[in-house]
Amino acid sequence: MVQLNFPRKRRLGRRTILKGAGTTLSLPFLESMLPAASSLSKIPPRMACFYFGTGMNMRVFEPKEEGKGYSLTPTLEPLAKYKDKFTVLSGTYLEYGGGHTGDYTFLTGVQTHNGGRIQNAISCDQFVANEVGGGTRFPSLQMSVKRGTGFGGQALGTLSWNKNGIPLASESDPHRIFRRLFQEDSPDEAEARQAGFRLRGSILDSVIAQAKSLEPSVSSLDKQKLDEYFSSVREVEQQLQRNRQWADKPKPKVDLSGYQDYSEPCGPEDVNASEFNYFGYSRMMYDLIALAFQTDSTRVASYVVRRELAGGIYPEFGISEDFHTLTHHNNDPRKLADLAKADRIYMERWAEFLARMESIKEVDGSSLLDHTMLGFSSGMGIGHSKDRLPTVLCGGTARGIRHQGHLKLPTNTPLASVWHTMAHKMGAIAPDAPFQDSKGAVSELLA
Amino acid sequence: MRLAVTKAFPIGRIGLIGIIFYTPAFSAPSDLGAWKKAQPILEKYCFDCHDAETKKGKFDLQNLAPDFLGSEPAASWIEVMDSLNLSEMPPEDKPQPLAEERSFVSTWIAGELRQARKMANATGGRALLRRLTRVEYENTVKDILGVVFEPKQNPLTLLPPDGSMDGFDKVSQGLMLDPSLMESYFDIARIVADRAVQLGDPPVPTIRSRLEYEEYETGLTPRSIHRSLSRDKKLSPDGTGVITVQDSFRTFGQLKHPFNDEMVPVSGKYAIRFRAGTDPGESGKPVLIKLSRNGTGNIFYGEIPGTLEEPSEHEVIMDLDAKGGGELGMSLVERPEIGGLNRYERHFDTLARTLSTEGKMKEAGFVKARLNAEGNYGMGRSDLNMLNLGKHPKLYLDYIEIEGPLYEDWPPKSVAMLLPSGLDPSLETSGYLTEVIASFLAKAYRRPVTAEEMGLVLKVAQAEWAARDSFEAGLKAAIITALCSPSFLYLLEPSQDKKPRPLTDYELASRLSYFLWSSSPDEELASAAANGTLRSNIKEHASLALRSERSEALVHGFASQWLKVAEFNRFTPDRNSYKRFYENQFEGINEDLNEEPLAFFREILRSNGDLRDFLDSDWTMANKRLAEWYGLQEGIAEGENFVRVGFPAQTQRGGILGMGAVHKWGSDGSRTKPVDRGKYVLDVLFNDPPHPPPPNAGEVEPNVQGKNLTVRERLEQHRQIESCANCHSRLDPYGLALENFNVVGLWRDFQDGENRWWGQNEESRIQVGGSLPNGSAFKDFLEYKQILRGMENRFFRGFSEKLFTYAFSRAPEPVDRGIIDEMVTALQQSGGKLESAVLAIVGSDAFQSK
Repeated sequence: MVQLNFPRKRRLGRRTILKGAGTTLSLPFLESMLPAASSLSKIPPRMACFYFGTGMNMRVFEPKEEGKGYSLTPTLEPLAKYKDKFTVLSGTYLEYGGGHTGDYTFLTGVQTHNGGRIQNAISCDQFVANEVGGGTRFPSLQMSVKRGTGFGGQALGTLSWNKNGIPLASESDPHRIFRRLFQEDSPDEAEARQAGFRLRGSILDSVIAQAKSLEPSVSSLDKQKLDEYFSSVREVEQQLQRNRQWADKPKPKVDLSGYQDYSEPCGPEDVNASEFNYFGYSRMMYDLIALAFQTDSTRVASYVVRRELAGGIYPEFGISEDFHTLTHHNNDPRKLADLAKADRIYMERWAEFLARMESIKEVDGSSLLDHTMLGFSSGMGIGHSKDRLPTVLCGGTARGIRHQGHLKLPTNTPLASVWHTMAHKMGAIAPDAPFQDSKGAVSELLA
Repeated sequence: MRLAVTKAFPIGRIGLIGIIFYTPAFSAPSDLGAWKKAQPILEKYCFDCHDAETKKGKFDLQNLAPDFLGSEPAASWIEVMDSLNLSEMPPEDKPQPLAEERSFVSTWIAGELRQARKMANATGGRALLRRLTRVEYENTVKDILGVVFEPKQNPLTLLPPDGSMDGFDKVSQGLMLDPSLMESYFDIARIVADRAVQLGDPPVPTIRSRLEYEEYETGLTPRSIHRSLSRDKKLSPDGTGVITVQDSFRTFGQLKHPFNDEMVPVSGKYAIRFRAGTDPGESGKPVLIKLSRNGTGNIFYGEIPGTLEEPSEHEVIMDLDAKGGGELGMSLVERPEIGGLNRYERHFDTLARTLSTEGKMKEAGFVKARLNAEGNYGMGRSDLNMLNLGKHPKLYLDYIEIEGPLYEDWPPKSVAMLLPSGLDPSLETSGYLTEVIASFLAKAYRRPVTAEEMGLVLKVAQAEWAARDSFEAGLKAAIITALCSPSFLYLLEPSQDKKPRPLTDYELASRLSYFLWSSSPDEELASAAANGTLRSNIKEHASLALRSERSEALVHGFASQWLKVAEFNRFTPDRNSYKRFYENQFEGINEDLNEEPLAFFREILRSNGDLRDFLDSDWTMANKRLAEWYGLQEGIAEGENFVRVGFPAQTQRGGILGMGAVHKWGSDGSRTKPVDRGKYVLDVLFNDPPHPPPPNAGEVEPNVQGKNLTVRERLEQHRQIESCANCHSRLDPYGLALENFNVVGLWRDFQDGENRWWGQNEESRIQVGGSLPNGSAFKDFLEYKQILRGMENRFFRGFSEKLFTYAFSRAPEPVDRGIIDEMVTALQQSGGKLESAVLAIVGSDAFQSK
């Protein structure tokens, strides 16, 4: 039996003083210029990139015929209703993908792993955000089925890398993302937030001063290591500045009728497995992207829908093995069928997303989908290959994307060409300017 | 540990030091002889097209420098190697090199590339600055602050996994710091400070709540229980509990904590107790019972000694998350189908189940709804044949209770550690704050702190104290600041570039404690450092440290990474092919298999045993379930805990290669992967991993329809390709020797797995014989292990290199050859004692200098 002593009455005020210190946003923010999508010419373009880890069963994904008249394959069949609003891009390729590190190079196109070191470059979404993101509350949005970055491990939680090649953390909980985008702090929270800002500010001053006093005494090799500390702390400091700046500007109000309830934490890391339903979760996540674009809270998003190697199958799928085990199918027809079934389930969710994007109308009557480019693919094709990627580009017709049905690109066309196309339509880069390993934007889509 | 603040600590005083970037100067091949031999081969077969003039495919091999450090030439060399390995070059219509020539060039390139990689990461034999791993972070804050964390609210869970290099997560180059990690450090420091400084009463008192099952028989019975009792539950003869054959016991929301009327009011530690007994009925088989909670899973699973007449009492103390069910449930694991459904209902029930597995949820719902509407579903009518309850296993339950949240101490130990004189208003002075923070900082920074550092932390604390009007808030702010400072987060050792200097005793104490304990020095090490007696007695301290309980960190830090424990679950054994793996009796076997290699290492560590037992041994570590799985002598191990079990003279087990976890690792869930298993042997036991396969080398092909080739036969097909044979003949025998172990680590004489019935005939009989690259031939696993036993020096060297990497946070370089040699000699002379290798490291100049 455990003995309890209650030694003395509590004396100090029990205010949870530091509350708020940890709730600062990890989404970058640049202030100024609230959205003004009031006239036709001012409807902004948006884009988002999506990652479906560990490839797909390409045998039932890739259409046989080329061109607009192709027949939908079993995996793509759920998207039938939007057939003229997307293009299936065969022949895409990740030079440094395949295996299980394709997520690192997915939006950056560079060789990330070299003799145990990991070094990445700026990702496509961040490149675009740097060019066009200044006008919105959030320059970009990072979403994932698992929060954080997962850096160093085999299953990244993010696709986004800043200009120094540092990964940007994602959020997995729809509730937290919703709060960040749309919910105002209560007066108490605002006060706690201000107190948190103050404390963090003075701590930052202190640790930077301590680091500076150490700097002269470390060797040159060690100094490189200590520089990581400096740059990280400075980044946190800048973040703090930005957070302070927008802390008291009102957030957009959204009408949530027809949407699910975002009032409680509901991410896979926040609720018990038994209470988690992937279908509901998936809809909430996709809807958040639609809402964020609709309110012009941001124009750029990235989303790890399924991580590399890990997870990917939920009880409601009715599939008994995890996704990675299925990809080692050994030509077992049952495993291949389960793999295809999982892919189709993901495409059904994607169709819901397209439906939501299509249902939201811009001022000129065109749909949000028509002004948004949504590109998805994977870090591998089938059998852990770096070609035969499941690549699809949806939407953007009002921005000049000409969909081609099933477009067979030349063998081993870098995936970056697809991102290049999107970045170009975002107004961030010319179609023939150098961009990652792209050989230029996909001209057929621009025709 | 109480370290005074000193104004004289030299860190701040060392002036600017000339900065020399260490760039390896090599660009010549490390093996000149081989280069001279390779050149004419290239010239003979390649220069026709790839000389400076023709440059076919823009590839000029004539002018390709043997520079493996530059990324462009290295990439070109990789292309040469891959084209040779894949027999892509020279083209078919050109003269082909001999197999030996082909293999000579590709092996030479691979070796140079590996050498270049080592050079590129070279440190010149110096220790590198690195940050704490998340394991070290957690251990350190627990040790210096005495904090106890709520489940899932601890640094280890909240910090992202650390990057790993050269096989270990301690390697400086893999331990990066990015802004999101820095954010996490801030957030976690706040959690640590809140847990450490908990003043006043516990927020939620410890309460015990019990449910007596016989009380339900006396009028308190909720309807549902009553209904159950009328079926197959009955009151025990002495009236103290209830007996059931088929039904489960729930707690019906009766276990509630007054704090918020939840069973688990806050996340924390709880005791769950029950008194129960079982009866096997006619079957005589062991009766398994389970106690579980939604969201937590099984709290108890297994046999109990209690009978219906003499029940036994059980207590499980565990962390429970506040999120999760408000119910406990107890039942027999295998329940007979009695009083279930009659034939008509069973038909629809089966139909509903089939539909739902086919994904037709809506249709399944209709069927269920129909059964419900008829008032039958789940209620059941007795199946008359099953009503003879006497023959079935029975479960008796007296009570279930839960007590918690349990506090080990209140106020928590951390308060006493931080505030030696406690805290009351008279103590809330600037002087006391300074004293408390000074004492804490010395522990956090693992050395005396300078006045400047002290001032910087104190400033934050005082500002927060003033702003919040709370001494407590000020103290917490100081803790957060310290935990975010580089002196805490990094193992700092100031140094000059030019030549190594001896470590201070404080630095040496940290090196030792982070090596063996993955945590900060304890009071003894700290005071030895303060007295200046540490260095002269370093070996004695190291021996003591190794014998301390805290060296358990070596099991989870070193051994688990060395043996690749984290990868044991990379594939799930196929449910259809390996049904036994999923039997109730073996629930938990996967965890047991994974635990065995660690338990084995722990036993060697604790008993100062012989590391060569990893090559072959006449014992292993097992619990009852694992012993049964392996088919060891009955009664050799009892219960859940692992004990040392001996084998009879001739055995299929023994050594790491007899352990199911390794067989599981070297399988893809449905078939074995001998190549991977060979890789495991070479990498883990000899630290000599094979070159990675050329791109598109592919996997061993699965069997095509109508063909039943064993994995060995398919691998032999693959090796028909000469360039593949080059690597595989050196690699495969090591793994093929383990073919007698199937995907789940069971012994087999015939091929199994892959969702097919292999039959037991000469065609499917497993062949393991072969010969290793050094020519030693073996015909079975036993002979193979004998050969391995004979390779102890190679094993000692491999092991020493692994342990070196772990201890120094970097891979060994040519300059470290001396230490490795000393470790090998020490292991040879001591008969494979881990301690001898540890002492060789600790006693080396490199370990004691920066």
